[in-house]
Amino acid sequence: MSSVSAAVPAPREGTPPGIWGIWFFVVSEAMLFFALFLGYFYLQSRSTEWPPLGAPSLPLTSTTVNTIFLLASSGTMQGAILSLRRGSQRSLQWWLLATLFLGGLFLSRQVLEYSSLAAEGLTIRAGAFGSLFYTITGFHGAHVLVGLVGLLALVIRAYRVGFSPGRSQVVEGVGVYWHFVDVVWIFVFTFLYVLPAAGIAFTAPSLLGPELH
Amino acid sequence: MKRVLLYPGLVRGFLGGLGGYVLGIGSVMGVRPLIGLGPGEPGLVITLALVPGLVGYLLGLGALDYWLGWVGGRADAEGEDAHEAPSSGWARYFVFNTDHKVIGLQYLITALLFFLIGGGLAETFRLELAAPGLQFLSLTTYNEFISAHGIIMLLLFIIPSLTGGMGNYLVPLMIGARDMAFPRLNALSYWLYLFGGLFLLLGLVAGGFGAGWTAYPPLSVREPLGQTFFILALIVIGFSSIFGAVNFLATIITLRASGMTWWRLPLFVWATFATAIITLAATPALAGGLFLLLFERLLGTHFFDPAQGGDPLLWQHVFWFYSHPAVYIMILPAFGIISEVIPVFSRKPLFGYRFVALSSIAISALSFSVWAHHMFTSGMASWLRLPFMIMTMSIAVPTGIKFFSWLATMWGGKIRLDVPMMFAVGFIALFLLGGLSGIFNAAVPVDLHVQDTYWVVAHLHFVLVGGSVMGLFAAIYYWFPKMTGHHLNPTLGKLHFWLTFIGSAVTYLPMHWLGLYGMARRVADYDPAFGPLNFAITVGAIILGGSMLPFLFNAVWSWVKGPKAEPNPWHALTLEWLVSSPPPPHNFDGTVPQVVGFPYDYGVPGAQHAVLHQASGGER
Repeated sequence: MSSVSAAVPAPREGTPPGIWGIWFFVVSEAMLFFALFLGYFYLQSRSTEWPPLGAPSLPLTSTTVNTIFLLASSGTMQGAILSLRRGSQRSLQWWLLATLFLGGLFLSRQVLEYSSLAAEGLTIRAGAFGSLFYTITGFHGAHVLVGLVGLLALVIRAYRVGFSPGRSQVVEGVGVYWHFVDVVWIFVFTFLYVLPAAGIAFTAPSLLGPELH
Repeated sequence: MKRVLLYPGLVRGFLGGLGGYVLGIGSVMGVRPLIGLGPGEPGLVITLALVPGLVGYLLGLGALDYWLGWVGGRADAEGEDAHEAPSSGWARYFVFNTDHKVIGLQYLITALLFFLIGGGLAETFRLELAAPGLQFLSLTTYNEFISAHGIIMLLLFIIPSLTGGMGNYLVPLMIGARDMAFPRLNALSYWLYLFGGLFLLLGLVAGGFGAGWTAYPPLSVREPLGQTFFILALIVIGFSSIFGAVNFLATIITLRASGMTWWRLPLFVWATFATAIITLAATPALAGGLFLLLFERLLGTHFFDPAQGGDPLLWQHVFWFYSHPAVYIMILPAFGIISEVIPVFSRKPLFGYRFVALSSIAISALSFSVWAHHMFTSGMASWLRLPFMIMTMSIAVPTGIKFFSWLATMWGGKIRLDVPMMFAVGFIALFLLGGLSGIFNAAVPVDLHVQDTYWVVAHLHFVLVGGSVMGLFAAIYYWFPKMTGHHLNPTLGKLHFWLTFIGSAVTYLPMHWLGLYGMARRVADYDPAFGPLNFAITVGAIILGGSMLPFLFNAVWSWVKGPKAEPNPWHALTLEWLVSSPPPPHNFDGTVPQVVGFPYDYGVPGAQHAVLHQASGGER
């Protein structure tokens, strides 16, 4: 018994709990988008034409520009994380502001795109196609908005008291979340914009159920 | 009075929530005319106002105080002790308390209250069903009662009591930790659950929801305002669950005490881990589906409308993609509880520990591959039935492994039939019946005849009441001394057990015959030939209802006046039994736990699972 009691166990090393936590949360959010994409491809499979006849075509060029802004914001986010590890408060502040700016730019351009599409007749009520388009991009946009709120919180604290140099579970956590939002966009962009524009569709109306129309 | 109103807690939370809601409704109705819109449909207004309502509630509770302070520049999040010192006495259960033991009991008691409400609904419609013809419930009210019964029991009672209640209370203790990895998130999970649960009850009076707990469109699209409350409540509760799952997974991975390898984890922890994996991956799918239904009701989308490119089966696929794994959320913790209780009361090591541990993970994985067995008669393509039938039958294998392990553990053991063990053995008998009827359902040719009949009602109640509820009571009788520091009266406990066991048998066995003879489920009236069996079922239901009386009396009386409990009344080995009853505020205050052996070496001389080292000065 004495040899056992002499050895007081040391605390556990490894990835901190907060980082595990944000990754698990990201998995749950990924499953949300997975379910929405399943719905998208399910209804696509039940259709005879995709995009359906009469649906306005989606603005590929403008959205590609938007995609570049969002990808850039992931770069600036990583810049912020690396600045914090170096201990540079000024760099951290600038990189965070840049991320906030690029994310905000993405979101406002998407909203403008919504109003021009609505003017062309693509609304959330324009058949299953319109419902899916606005719901999926809308969910993504909502996640961007949440990310922007998180970034704003970091910016406020960065300017008020700064962060201790090194690794911060909160900053890195927001970083993981922001990169995730970016990755989801790549899927949204590919599935909703690129594939239909390239004429690739998975229509098989009687595969999973009886013909609907 | 002023203290109650101003101190962050339940009262201020509700005032905040109410205030936020009123503000939200006012804002929506004020802004809409300014942008040229009419007053707005009630469902839409209620939905939009939910955001400020929820925020007001959380602010009133004080749930956001730490993070708002952090943004403003207070001390760094890491390194600061996130564990609030709990105040003593009953008042600490009514505030935003981050102690996992407090949260566990908050969950357990709230869930039991919802159990009583769900049970009351059942007693009422069982009285209606005691004879053919409509006695006192209208068709609409009947549909609303059975829908509410289902959703309250599943989402407001079973899942919260087993995961939020027992899981939260036990996991940190069993792994030798001071608390969960994210104590504030843990408290948030509970208060979101409470909000969602009460919001759902509000829906019952705000117009009701009569489309079943499964809410299939197109019926659910056309249901009155209560259905919108249903959707919103489930979304809020979904977040609560997901945060809980994140917490359990991070806690079990990072906070295990020294020496607590994966192969020395108690099986209840393995079960909670497997349950959290399912919760994490499946609940978001439900959330997605719920939003689709919400948009269909409020925004005129066409997800489920075939004339516009939608498909009602889309809902069924998305809904069951969550709801089938969800039933494993409801049973895996109970399996874990049985694995804890049986070795202790057989005084024998658990047979096949690694198989039992891995079978929980196998069930987790397989549970995602079987959902469409709820849709064999839905009109989906016939070829889909075969793969789902095969996967459904295969899930019996890991479940069977557990059963054989429990039986092998008891074989040749020194059985002590204390009340927890009675519930555990009762679980084995009743859940077995539910599992066997499940195998019948899995076979497509059988399901074509029994789908939507009382056969299915029999199956689901044997697994949920005979399984989950029996498991929960086994847990309550086993850990009550630890949680409260008092013993439950065993005579009342035995009375509770027998009333539950007999009541379950009388209520649910006849349903098998009713189903095979063709009585449909979810009907308020039926062919007079089914009268006698229905009468018998109602008698059983009254016995079941009565079984709660000795339990409730016992629980309340014993907590206040029962004999004091020693640290280890059952002579068990797992870590929670090494500390006082109830445990100290930070579980292992003044000591450092170290795990040195297997958790189930009962009857093995000199066996130890864990020891507590005295901490050196300066250690918290």
